[in-house]
Formats: sequence, C-alpha cells, structure tokens
Amino acid sequence: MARTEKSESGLRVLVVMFGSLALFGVTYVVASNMLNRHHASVGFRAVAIIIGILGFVLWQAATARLILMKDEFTRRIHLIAVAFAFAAVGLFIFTADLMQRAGFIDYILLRTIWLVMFVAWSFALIGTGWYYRR
Amino acid sequence: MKNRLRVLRAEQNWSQAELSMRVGVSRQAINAIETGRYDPGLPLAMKIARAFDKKVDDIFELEEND
Repeated sequence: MARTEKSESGLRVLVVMFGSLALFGVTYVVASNMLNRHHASVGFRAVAIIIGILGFVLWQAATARLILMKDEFTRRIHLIAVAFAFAAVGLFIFTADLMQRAGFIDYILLRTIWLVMFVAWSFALIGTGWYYRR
Repeated sequence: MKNRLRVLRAEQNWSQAELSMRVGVSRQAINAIETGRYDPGLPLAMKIARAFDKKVDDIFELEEND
C-alpha cells in the first residue's frame, strides 16, 4: 500500500473512531438531559432512552467495524483484551455483590459497571499490545 | 512453533515493514511472529510463504510440545 493511501486510510479510521465516539457522547448528554427533566411524559422518556441506545450502538458498531478491518494479529489482540475486560467486569460485579451483602458498601450505579468495563478494556488493550510487541 | 522468518527476510534484505506490506499485515504482526509470540493463521502463513516463494512447511515448523 502506498504511503498516501495508508495515510488516507489512517485518517478515515480516526474520523470514524472519533466521530462515532463524539456522536455517542452527544446522544448520551441529550438523553441524560431529557431524563433529568421533571414531569416528562412516558413517551418523552422512552425517546430519551432510544436516543441514548442509538448513540451507544452506533459507537459499538463503528468500533467493531474498525477492528474487523484490521489484520488477524490486531484482531487477536482485541479478542484477548475483550476476554480480559469480561473477566475483570465479572470479578468486579461478583466482588461488589458480596460487599453489598456484607454491608461494606452501598448499592452501586449500573453505569459504574460499564465504566469499569471500558477502563478494563482499555488497560487490557494496552497490556496485550505491550506483551506482543515488546 | 518455530519459524525461519527472520532468516528468510534477512536473505531477501527486507525490513519488517517491507514484508508486512507485501503480506498485508502490520509490522508489529511480523515482529510478533519472528519473536515466536504469535503463530499466524493459515491464510497469513500462506501469504508469507508466497512472498518468499516457498512452501509453508519450509518456513514454519511444529515443535515437540505444539
């Protein structure tokens, strides 16, 4: 692949990656603001949920598409990172459940779980990449 | 799995980047294969063999514990 084509391909990847992430951020903020309104109708709240989900699914689809465009080695790294993230979130939920039942902590927000998943996935991606590339 | 990738690449005087472009993967993938941290799948192994005009068996070799 020529250097120019490679740069254009890299640019497209960045645009899709940050574009989908920005769209997810915007839809999340919009959905959150809509849900924070008092006395909103059921329909209004349902629309807020759909907007939030759409942004999230679009970001997930864009991320999956970008990973599938990569070579088999990069896909392997992502697969291992996802497995680590899954294990980390499983451990987090299991531990949180036991700690709640023991009375050590209060109930945790559901959004904390996917935040933990995102952080675990990021760290696992960095760690797996480091292992294979060192 | 053992492989002769580094030797064959040196014989051709190719850099990792050059080989990676010839077979359509990242340079990191070639490095991981050469260091033995990653065993390629069959399509990639065949592409590598084709790039060197050799058979897969000439490049990759199973070890006792594989």
